[in-house]
Amino acid sequence: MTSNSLIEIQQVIKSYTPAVRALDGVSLTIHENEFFTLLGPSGCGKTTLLSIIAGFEKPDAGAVLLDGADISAAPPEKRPVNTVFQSYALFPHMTVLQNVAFGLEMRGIARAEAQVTAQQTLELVMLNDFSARTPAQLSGGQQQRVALARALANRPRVLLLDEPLSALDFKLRKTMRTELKRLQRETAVTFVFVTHDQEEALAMSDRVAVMSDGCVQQIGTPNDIYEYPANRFVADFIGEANLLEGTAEGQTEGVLNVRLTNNTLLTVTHPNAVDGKVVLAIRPERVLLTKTATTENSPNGTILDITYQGNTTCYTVQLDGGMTITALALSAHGGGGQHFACGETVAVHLHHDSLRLLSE
Amino acid sequence: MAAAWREHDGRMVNAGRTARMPGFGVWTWVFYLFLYAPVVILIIFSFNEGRSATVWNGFSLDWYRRAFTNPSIQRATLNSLIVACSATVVAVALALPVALALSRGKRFYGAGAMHLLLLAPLMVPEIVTAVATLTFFSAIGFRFGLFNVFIAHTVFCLPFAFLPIWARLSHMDEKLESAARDLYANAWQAFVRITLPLLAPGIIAGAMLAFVISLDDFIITLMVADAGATTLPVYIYSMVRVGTSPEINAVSTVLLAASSAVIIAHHFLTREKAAT
Amino acid sequence: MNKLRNFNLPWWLSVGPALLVLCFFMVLPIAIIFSYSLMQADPHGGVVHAFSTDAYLRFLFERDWDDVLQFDLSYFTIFLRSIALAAATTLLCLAISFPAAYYIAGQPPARRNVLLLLITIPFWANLLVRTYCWVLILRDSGLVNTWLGLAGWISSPLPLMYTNGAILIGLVYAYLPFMALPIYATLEKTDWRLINASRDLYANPLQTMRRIVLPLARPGIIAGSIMVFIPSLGAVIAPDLLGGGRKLMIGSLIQLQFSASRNWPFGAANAVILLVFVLLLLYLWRRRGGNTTGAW
Repeated sequence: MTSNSLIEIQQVIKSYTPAVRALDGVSLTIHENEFFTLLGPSGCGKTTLLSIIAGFEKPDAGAVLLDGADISAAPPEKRPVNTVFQSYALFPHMTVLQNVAFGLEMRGIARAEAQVTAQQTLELVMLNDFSARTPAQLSGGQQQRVALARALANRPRVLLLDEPLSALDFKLRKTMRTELKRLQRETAVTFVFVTHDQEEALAMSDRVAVMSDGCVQQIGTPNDIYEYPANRFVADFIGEANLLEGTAEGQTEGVLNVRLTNNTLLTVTHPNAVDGKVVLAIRPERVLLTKTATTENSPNGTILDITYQGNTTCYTVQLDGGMTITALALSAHGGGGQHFACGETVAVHLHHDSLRLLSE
Repeated sequence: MAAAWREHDGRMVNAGRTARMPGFGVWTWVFYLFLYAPVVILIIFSFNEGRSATVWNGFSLDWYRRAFTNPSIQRATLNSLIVACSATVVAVALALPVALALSRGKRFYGAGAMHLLLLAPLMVPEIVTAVATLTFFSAIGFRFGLFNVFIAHTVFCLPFAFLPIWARLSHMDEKLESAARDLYANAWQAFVRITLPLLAPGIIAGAMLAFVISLDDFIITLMVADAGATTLPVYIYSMVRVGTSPEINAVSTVLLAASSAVIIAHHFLTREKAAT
Repeated sequence: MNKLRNFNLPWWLSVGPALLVLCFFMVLPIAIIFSYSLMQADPHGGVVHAFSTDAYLRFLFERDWDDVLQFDLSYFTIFLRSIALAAATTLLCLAISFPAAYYIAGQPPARRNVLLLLITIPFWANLLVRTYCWVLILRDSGLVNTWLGLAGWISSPLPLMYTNGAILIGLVYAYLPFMALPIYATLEKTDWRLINASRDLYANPLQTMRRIVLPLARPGIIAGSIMVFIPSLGAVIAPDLLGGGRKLMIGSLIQLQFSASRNWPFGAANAVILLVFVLLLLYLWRRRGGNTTGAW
């Protein structure tokens, strides 16, 4: 992976109604040959951003740069960018081959040559035997592959994918994830992928931009945004997190003292000095439960509820002085998979390296 | 794709349609009997050898032969076809760009009013349109025989040409056009290669309805047409005023068959649309 | 992702021609009719260009030889008869077509399609011809009288034609498909599991009909009633062929004024009243949600 910037989004603003901004000053950089994902809940502006890159929408303000040139005003047919639509948008009156050759023909490539390239691209998505069919004669997964081939046949600088897996069933979705990764590697085309499914985003992307309310909340590798969420929204949206509110009480040598609202004193690894109210986050799988308290950062609690989930078991623990915490542990071999019983008193270990200080 | 799923759901829901009401089945057959018996009587007696439309004398095609060789009927039939064809072509040509502008163009001021105005010929009672058009033509001294009839027909054919085209456009995924633009087609290429082929069934459906409506129109034509510009329904009316004759039955049967053929074709055309 | 506009003709080129045609040949003629209704009649046909409200006064008054207005309701009666016949037509159409529409909606898709086509054909078929069929049946030497005579039940023909009843039959026959189609369209879209749910919750067929089916079919019933009532009100063919000019309705009255009677202002006034009444009805319907049946 090189780090040459391919697309620059600069302070893009877009609103459909005067009151609501679909995009509120978004800036980000997408590198050459990377699998970049825009992740967020519906209505966060991710699809609008994709439409602006494709040219279906014009930004109200700001610029989109491709290879350093401003393309904000160019119509979609003048951009070396192709889209895989959410519902595929395959032309129903054309065969699979005609669909895939369409873009090449429109660029003035002779029909015969276009069809050869189209056939090769169909091989890439393993649909070479289906070229004479119409889209209606294909399954959902096959339509998805045709949509990919139709876009990739043009060897675009950027491939935009608008929630392409959302219409597929669970198993097919898992297969297509691997498939998309393979296609991205083999074609070396930059993929910009839009999804609301965090698992998809974490599994496939080189980098992820988490969006909400028309703003980018955090950009980073999947590991970054999972392990070091920048704020409360990201921590909450990606995976599960225990959010603990408290007050900072001084810092010594990279360790911050935080007094929680239930009066528990915790230490957190954090480089900077912070004052006032803070929020700490810890993933449930990082919370360790033991029978007896040993060191610091291990307040006592009572087990309220146990949910057996097969490979893991989830414990809901009530800390002394209020505040509940969720802990996730691998299921035990015996005893119904449970290490503890409901109502049992346990020590809740919150390791200072696992606790993250969030900005609001 | 989405349509296919809905179709699928429909079938599933349909599988549970077990809520029978006693007597409704028999009633439905009476309903169809009422709807078709008078027409069947007309058709049967158009093949009657004698003059009677009440007592059967034997099978004969004589009345059809007479009708087809009657120069007034020939003239009226020709007039009907000329008016129906030209009104259909012009109505579709006028309605198509309006439907495109309303569903695919930039929003323009008064789009809602335009939509309402297009449907006005459906809302205004036929007799009012008839006398209004008559009055208008006479007020401006507009007397061009069949051309007057053609203009009146074009106006009331407009909504019938417009509605199927517009319906087809509203059901057509606009993303298809976006996809074409994304694949390097300019606006004109996207229109010719994608929009127009997919719209074709809607255009044909609109043309069929406009044709049938024009062919069958009676009241407006009666008021607007001069002596030389008689269409088939107006001619049938003038014969009915004189008295019943098997010749009327024969001509009427032909007219019914013509419009039924177009409507049956239209039915299968629009049903195919639902399948894709 | 669909804000891209693919149709970029300027509006005056795309909408312009149709707009021009409609304004010139639809809006303008109606404006002229409106102005004619406020003018004096020319006994030779046409109008005298002088303001007069006589045309409207004729609904309630008759001008006698001394030019004095006498209270006279003979034209108003025609208007009332039109409303009564149109209302009766609507109710009869509803009663006849509802069970059929319900039954058809419950059939398997292939069969439903054929049955639907069999309603669609008369929907579009020639109204004049379809009404004429009833002349064959009802006239003095028609099917009914002939057969009753042959059976020896009557000695002289029953006067079936030229009655309100004949007009009513003609109207019901003409507009029956206009009621059946929208009701069918509404029922077809209904989730029939609701009916099973009602039965599951101890409702008998009659209770299910009253509490579940009828409320769900309401939009279709209203749409169908509008589509039957309005053309029935302005009907010309049925009162002409089956009423024989003896039982006038407002439509045939208007037609008469512009042909035989040659009183254009009075005909125009009738047309204006009919138009205003119909548009008011459509406006009220639209305010209540309008056509949601998808039958159009």
